[in-house]
Amino acid sequence: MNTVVEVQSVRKDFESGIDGDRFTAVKDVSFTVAKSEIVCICGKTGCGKSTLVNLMLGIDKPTDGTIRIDGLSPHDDFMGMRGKLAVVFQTDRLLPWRNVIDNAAIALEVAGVGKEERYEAASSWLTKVGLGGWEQAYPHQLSGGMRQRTSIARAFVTSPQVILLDEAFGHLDEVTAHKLRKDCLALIDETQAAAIVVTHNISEALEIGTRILVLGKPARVLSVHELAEARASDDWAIQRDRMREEIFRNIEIESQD
Amino acid sequence: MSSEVSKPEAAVGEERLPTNPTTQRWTRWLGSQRDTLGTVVAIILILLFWRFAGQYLPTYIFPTIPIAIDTTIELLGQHATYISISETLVRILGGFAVSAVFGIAVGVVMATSPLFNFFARPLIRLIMGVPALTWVLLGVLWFRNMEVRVWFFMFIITFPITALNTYDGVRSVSYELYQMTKALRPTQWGMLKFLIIPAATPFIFSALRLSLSFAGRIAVFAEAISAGTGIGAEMMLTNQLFDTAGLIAWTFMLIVMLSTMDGILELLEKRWFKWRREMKE
Repeated sequence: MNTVVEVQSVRKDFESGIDGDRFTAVKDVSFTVAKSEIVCICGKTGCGKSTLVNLMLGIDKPTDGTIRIDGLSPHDDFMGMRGKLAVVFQTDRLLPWRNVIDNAAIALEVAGVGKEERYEAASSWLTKVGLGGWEQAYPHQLSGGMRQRTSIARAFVTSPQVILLDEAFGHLDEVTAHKLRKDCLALIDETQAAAIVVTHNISEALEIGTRILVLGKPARVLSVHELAEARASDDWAIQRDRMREEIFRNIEIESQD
Repeated sequence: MSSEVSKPEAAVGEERLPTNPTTQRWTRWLGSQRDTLGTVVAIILILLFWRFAGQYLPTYIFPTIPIAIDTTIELLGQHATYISISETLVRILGGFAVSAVFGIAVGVVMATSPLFNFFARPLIRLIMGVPALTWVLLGVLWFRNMEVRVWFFMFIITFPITALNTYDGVRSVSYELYQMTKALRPTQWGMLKFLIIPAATPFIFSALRLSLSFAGRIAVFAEAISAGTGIGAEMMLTNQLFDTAGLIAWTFMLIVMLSTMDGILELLEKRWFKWRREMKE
């Protein structure tokens, strides 16, 4: 197995702003993600999923434990990770003063790629996400779904080895989210990137993941569910319902403790 | 799996309710000309008041419109007038440019360095609290060179406005955009270039327009008190000679100059900030 992401016994403590006490947002999380694998991280709102995203992005440093992406630490080798790891957030987070193509090309511009080359790459990705012809539009001229498509193009433009989807379809209506999810999966499949999908939507995780990690609060792995083989079996529908119930129960029991 | 993608969703405003095209055209035209119409109405009211006052008051208190126009034309026919205008213009633009560069730099450093902000912010507040007249009198005592005096007044009055607005602009950058940009792994300069400066630019531009308007007034004030040349000095001279028509003529030229500069900044603002969604009534 070609492991791209290695998260080992990661813990993250924060100092509370109110009384100066420390609290633990991520308690003990370990998992690996291989090339082409789609690992879904499921958990209740506020369980530390976003903290985990910040740790994997290298924006925050773990209090304890290690994170390796393609052998590098996203925090300590911050600049060395440029272009290898991309993220799609829940909201599009497009820069409003940049038009669609400049938004899509920004990762290449940060990496110092020349204008012609980065426009060519961005244009090709925009066409792939169905936004060909919208290059010169500004974010406020687009619908929510189109803006999120632009942010997907922005993430893929560097052909990253790892792509993080942080509730990427969570704020869209069900129909748009379904279309966008399908398109995004096609791109992940095409690029063979390792994908980490952070979501609170169990159905979404069961639909797209090859593996599901269920997190408790503070973030720690409550259960792991392998989906690749189960999905290929004849009784996938039954297994899926059983898994959904199991995941739901795990989270419910955990929140009662 | 195929990488074929579905058709994107409709863009904002793609589907609208049908309206009468003629009504729509007139409403749009009136909307676009609203500022101009307001200005025209204001000018007409001022001219009416002027005509009324000029009829009943002595010329040295309130000259009639034809006298003021004749004086303006006469002044515009003199070479010395253009020298005075250009001297004031150079002072305004020079002082404005120095205070803008310094103010933006101080504002950005204040917003990014808590330690610098700890010291600089109270100091700027203190500078802003000192009356303009105090700075003018101190400037006269501190500097012998007239040009330095004028530049000092403009700088000390306008740079705090730019610095504080830049500080507010940088602080207003959303954490979400910061997190997104940070995830792209830019250098510190890249973070400024790609996010901080563009996000703060609308704030900076508002500050610059305000600063320019202050710079114009301060420059003329400073010229009147401490310089022997420029529009301010000419205005002071007309005052000493009870030449009210001359005072109005110089004021008119100053207004035209400042309005032209503000107009240029407004045009640049419209061009550079076309990405901002216009508020529609």
